[in-house]
Amino acid sequence: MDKTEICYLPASQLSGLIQRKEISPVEVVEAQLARIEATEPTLNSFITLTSEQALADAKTAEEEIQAGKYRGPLHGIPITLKDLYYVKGIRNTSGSRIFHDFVPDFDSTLVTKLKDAGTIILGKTNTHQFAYGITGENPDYGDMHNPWNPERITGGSSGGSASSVASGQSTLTMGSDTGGSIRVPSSLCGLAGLKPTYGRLSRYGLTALSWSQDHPGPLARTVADCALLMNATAGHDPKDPATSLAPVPDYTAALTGDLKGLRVGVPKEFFEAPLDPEVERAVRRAIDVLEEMGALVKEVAWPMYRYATPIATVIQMAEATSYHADLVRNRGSEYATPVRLLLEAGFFLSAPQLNRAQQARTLFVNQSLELLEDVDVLAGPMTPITAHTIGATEVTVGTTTMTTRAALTQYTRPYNLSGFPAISVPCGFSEEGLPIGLQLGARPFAEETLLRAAHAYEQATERHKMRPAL
Amino acid sequence: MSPESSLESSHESWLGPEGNWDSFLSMAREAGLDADDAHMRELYDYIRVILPGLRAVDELDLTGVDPAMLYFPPKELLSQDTLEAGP
Repeated sequence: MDKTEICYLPASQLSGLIQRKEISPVEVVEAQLARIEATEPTLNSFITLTSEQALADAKTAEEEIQAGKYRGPLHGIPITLKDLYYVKGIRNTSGSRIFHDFVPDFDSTLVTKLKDAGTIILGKTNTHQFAYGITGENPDYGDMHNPWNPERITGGSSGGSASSVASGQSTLTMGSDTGGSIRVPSSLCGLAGLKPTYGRLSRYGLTALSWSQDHPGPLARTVADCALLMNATAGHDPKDPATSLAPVPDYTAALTGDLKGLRVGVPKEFFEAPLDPEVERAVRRAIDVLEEMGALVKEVAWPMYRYATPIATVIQMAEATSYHADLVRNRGSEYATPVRLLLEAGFFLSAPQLNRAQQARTLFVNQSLELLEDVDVLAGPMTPITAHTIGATEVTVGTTTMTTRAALTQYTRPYNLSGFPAISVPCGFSEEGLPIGLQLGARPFAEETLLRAAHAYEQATERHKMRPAL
Repeated sequence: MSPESSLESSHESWLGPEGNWDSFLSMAREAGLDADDAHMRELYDYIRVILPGLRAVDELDLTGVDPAMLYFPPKELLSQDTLEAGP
């Protein structure tokens, strides 16, 4: 098989070939390391490559499989990790030179699970500094570049993760999402990206940004691959008190392709916000496809939607500034200026302001739960624009000029604030050839419903099979 | 607006819409930042843009609403009598 073809095979197909010994994990890793060598000068997906260890691990996997010790569908599958997942013995920079030489002496819980499942870690991916940004621009380790057009942003903060998978450098990746950092780069790079319910995946051993809004989760080229990663990583962790005791289902079993009777709500507020007409057309067409497949689609109202950003921002700023307080006081000049400003601004919030935001969060969650009694899924745009040019600080969305940060997080914040799950799935391309994403959200712990809906939609279209011209 | 929510709304951020350069520097020092750093002017301009945008939360009537992050006393510290009696 052609090496580039190997690089673009989804894990759900690759695993069968590996299990049947038709392809070796060593061949796969070698193909992807060659792909990285060829494309990394353009993309800058990685902060740390672990090529030698990856080859050694691939050889071990090959020997285990040859000996009949097949661990399951992720055995021998390459993966990249956002550079805030602690891996024992591998430096963890969190995207900042401040931690250039920090080497954890333990694995995060998710890394332990992924190693147990047999994945092969190719390296640690580039991220917006401390995950505190949505564009994927990084002055310390270089900007991340979108595989569909390297002059455009990947989106962030899990930008290196997204570009590594979208370009075939890796089969799978894991990121984190505090204000859209899985879903935005997934949307802008043409991937499926799931932000699970808060408490579904452990945060233990991940660099924190905002404790109550941080969500680890998968990005992949297909929804089925996201389901495989959920099977390997979801579940209670005594080391993360926020994780749920709720049983973990088999997420791949949810991928039935059947949408008949699924109740889909389309919040009218999504389309009253600034929205690029080209994105709106693609998203409305995607919702039509859901209806044609048997879903029951109706418009709904979500009046609290417009408060999600200010509420979530107050909480995020307060939590992030608490986490970074000493560091930003003493080494502020070593932060990227936009990150430093956000962190320092957090000092100027008052305690009553934070408490009011937490009260407002209660109202927001209650209204969201009520809304999701009438429908199973909420559908809408993932981002109001496609990937903008690297370095831009403002964008024009329709007729509105706004900061890139405000634009890109416009549809993401509600799900970080509530902790409810949401997924981004490709739903089209702009005339410039840039990916457009559809966002689906659901009730807490309804990841099966989200994956079922996203997978059925994906299978009805061809977008996930398209590749950037790299 | 109820007295309770009125009281809550009177707590503006430390800076407040009336904040000026001197009060900003004073608050920056309180926060442990280097108020003599040339960067302070950039921060001052920044917070005067970003903080007012967060005041939309004040439009909400939060009377009688508990915050989302409640404190739960550790169960082992509660006596059996308290647990059996319930709230």
